[in-house]
Amino acid sequence: MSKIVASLLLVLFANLCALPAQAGLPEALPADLQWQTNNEDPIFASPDAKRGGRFRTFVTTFPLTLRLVGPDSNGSFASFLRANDLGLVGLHPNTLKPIPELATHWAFGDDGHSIFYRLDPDARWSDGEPVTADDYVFALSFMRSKFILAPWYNNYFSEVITEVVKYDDHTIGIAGSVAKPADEMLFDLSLSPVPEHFHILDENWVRDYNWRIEPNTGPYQISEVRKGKYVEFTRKADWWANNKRYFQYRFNPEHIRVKVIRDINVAYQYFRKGELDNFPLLMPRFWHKKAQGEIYEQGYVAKIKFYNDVPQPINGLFLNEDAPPLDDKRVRYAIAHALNVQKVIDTVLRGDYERMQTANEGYGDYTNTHIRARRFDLAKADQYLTEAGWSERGPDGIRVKDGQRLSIRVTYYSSGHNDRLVILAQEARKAGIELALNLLDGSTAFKQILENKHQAAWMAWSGAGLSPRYWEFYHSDNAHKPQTNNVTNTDNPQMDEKIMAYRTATDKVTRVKLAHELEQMVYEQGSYIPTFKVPYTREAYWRWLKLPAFHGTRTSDQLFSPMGGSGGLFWIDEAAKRQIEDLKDKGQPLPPAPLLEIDETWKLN
Amino acid sequence: MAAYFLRRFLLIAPTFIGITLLVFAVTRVVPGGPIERMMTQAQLGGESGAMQKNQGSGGTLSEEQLKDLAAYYGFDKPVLTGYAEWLGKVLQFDLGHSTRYQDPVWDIIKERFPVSLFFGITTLILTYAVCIPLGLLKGMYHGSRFDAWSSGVVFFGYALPSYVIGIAAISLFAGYWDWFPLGGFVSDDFDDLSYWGRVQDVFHHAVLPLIAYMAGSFAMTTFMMKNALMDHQSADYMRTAAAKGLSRHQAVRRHATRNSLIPIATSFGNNISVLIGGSFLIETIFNIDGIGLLGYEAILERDYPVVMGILVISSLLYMVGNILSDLCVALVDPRIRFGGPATA
Repeated sequence: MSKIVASLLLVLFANLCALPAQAGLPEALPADLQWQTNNEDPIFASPDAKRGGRFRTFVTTFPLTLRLVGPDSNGSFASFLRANDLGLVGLHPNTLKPIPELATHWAFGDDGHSIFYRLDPDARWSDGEPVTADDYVFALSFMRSKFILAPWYNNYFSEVITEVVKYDDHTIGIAGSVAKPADEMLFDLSLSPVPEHFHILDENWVRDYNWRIEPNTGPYQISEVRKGKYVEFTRKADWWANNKRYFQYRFNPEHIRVKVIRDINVAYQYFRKGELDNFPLLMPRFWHKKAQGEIYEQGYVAKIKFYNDVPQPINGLFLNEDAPPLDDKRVRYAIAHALNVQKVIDTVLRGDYERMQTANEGYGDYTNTHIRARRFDLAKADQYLTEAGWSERGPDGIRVKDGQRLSIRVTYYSSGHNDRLVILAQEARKAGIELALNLLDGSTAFKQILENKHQAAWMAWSGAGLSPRYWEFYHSDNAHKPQTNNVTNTDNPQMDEKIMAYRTATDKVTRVKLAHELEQMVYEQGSYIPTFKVPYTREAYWRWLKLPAFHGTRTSDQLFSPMGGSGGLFWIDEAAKRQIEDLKDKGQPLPPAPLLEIDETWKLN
Repeated sequence: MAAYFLRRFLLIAPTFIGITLLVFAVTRVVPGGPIERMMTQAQLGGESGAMQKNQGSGGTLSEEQLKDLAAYYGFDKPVLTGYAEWLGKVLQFDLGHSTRYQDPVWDIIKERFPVSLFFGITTLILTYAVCIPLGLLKGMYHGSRFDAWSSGVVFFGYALPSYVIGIAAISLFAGYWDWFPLGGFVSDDFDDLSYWGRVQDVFHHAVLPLIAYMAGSFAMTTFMMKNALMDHQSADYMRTAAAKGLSRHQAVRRHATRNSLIPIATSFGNNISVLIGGSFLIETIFNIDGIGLLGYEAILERDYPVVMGILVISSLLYMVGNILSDLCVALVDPRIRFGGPATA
């Protein structure tokens, strides 16, 4: 058991392998540093925003802890806590350039692995203590500590971030082990400080700090915890960053109450009654069926569909090249042409999802937009299969070759996808391919796939970061062995060469070019078949919530996110609230009624 | 009889060890333990994209790190050693700490007792208060229109799953008509209310979940009561009572009722389990922090100390309840003598 666990690889930071030992940071601050900052980008909030009010939202499970790290600190509530835990630099949600957060300036060392930051002297913890270089030095030892029971953080802050040095109270240096373009280094090495004066690190830390409210640097702090019921945040009266360029006009509600409602259908009833201010409508069932009725017709509640441009999960069918007949490229191509993804979108997904074209979408310049995923085409499937010697069909219509039926086992782990897969399997039969559907629970399926015991895996890897990851998914170092993310067992020397070039290149133009070429190779390899993406957010909201005229930003994955890098843009209009409640009592509409907004500003192709 | 009950009490200990050892062993071998779940969650994507920094996942864990995690979750010792340690603590009334909430298991369970007790006792009282008279009436007027209609209603409630009734009730009476709150055991401002206000608040919140809890529980007891009464109505002593000049009502009240209660008494002792009862489905729908939900989530999230803690309490209550039921039967049925020689 522990062997299996031991080797479960989650190689996001694949670059750790075979890296030369890095030289440490200089003892004295180099004099010739080119300090940079960014106060030129447009602001992305509305000057019309009003402060005040209580924003009411929900989660389906009460948080198990208020710690930011350690066991169970990764639930749905964690996003609220992390959003108030500012980093050194942020990412401008539209331009994707770095912007100041806790640091005002940054500079790059000439070794390509070190960054220096000048801290904002105004920065304060919620208990009034200033944020100093010591909090960053402490953060590193904190994140490396065994006592926090967070081995992945332990690793990241040992292997990716190798050193943090204090030069004076407001200047630090951070050394990373990974050579990447400057903007990505900033993003990866943007360490959050940890308040040294708050923590006592010992073996009881996980338990002792489970419900303690840690001082933070963001706009909100927890003001009330009612276990099992709700957590309330209150805006800091004199938040240090109130008037900073990219923070002004944002984080407007005075209070944010996160209520626990364990059933999504019941949560919708709360919303319908006006006891929640907004409601996510990503699920087709909600958007098309549930979100109907008087509150919409009368215009008290609006619906909005907002296209965004963020890294998409790598969604699709992964074919294991080590499992015959999938070792034959022609068979893989034929399967791609036999998958009627569009039919699934048009039927069970109600046309809501869109076809994913490549593995890595939503990475800005890195995304290769010239590639089109193979379309459902029985003639092409037939041609490839005939070439590959699968020309005969058995009595049940499935192709046979040397007594073997062309049957592919598809491992998947979400019963909600049954209908999608049944349609694909039915359509694939027309091409003489049998897809044998094999539903397992999440952990079991994941284990089977990581042990390469699958033929085809129907899954989604989470997309993250600023650029696509190729080494972990396609390099031969990770092929033919269990517990790696190369679940297709791609083993292609030309690809290996290009992947290594991509990993060592630090100039963005080169990296983008290589990423495009790699994506083309992934397409030609044919072992990953892209399926769906959801490049937008959909929500319903009571119209006393006001959004800026541009609704959201390029990277808004939610429009009514009260905190976070692209969050806190909306505000509550108390006068409108009274007006809507008044109209509701009288049964009169609020024009324009009904209100459906579709914003395609950031829609790709 | 005393010896019989003493034997029954002595049997509790080995039975308890059997049950807990079995479950303890199962928790060690089932796949998808807390460590694997942590990894799966970190890697698998959902349906839509997001902008995220991923410093919390990625990288490989060394053997040593995995050992640390295993030790944290208590998987580092052989099953029997682990079990012996756990049992030793239980004997000192220490159920350990939850691996999810980091709080003592006993405190977490104790916090939820009032909810279970309230619903358990209310359901109990209402069930007996409704079912016994209803069963008697149905038995007396067997075949009448009243009997047919009440059977229809009782079976309708029995046939519908309680969570369906729950969702329907909450949508209609709380969502559309706004007569009752949408959920919770008490209001958020419960602490600020007067004593009378609090009582009202609890009952106002309890109506819909009680309907969901009780809809299915009438059928069994009602029909047990009805059938027992019908059996007794054709008994010789009822004929004798009628011959003595008692009216049917009087005969039923004085003679048949007590005898008809015997089948119900056979399960009366098990009502002690209401202390730790609750349905996770109903608690999910009505957003109540009860033991049903706690137990369900503990199993789902592999919070083994809580799973074992609930098991300790529920298995003890169950075994004691069985003995109590036997006692109740002995009390209402003078023919029964446990452990004595069989009498013809």
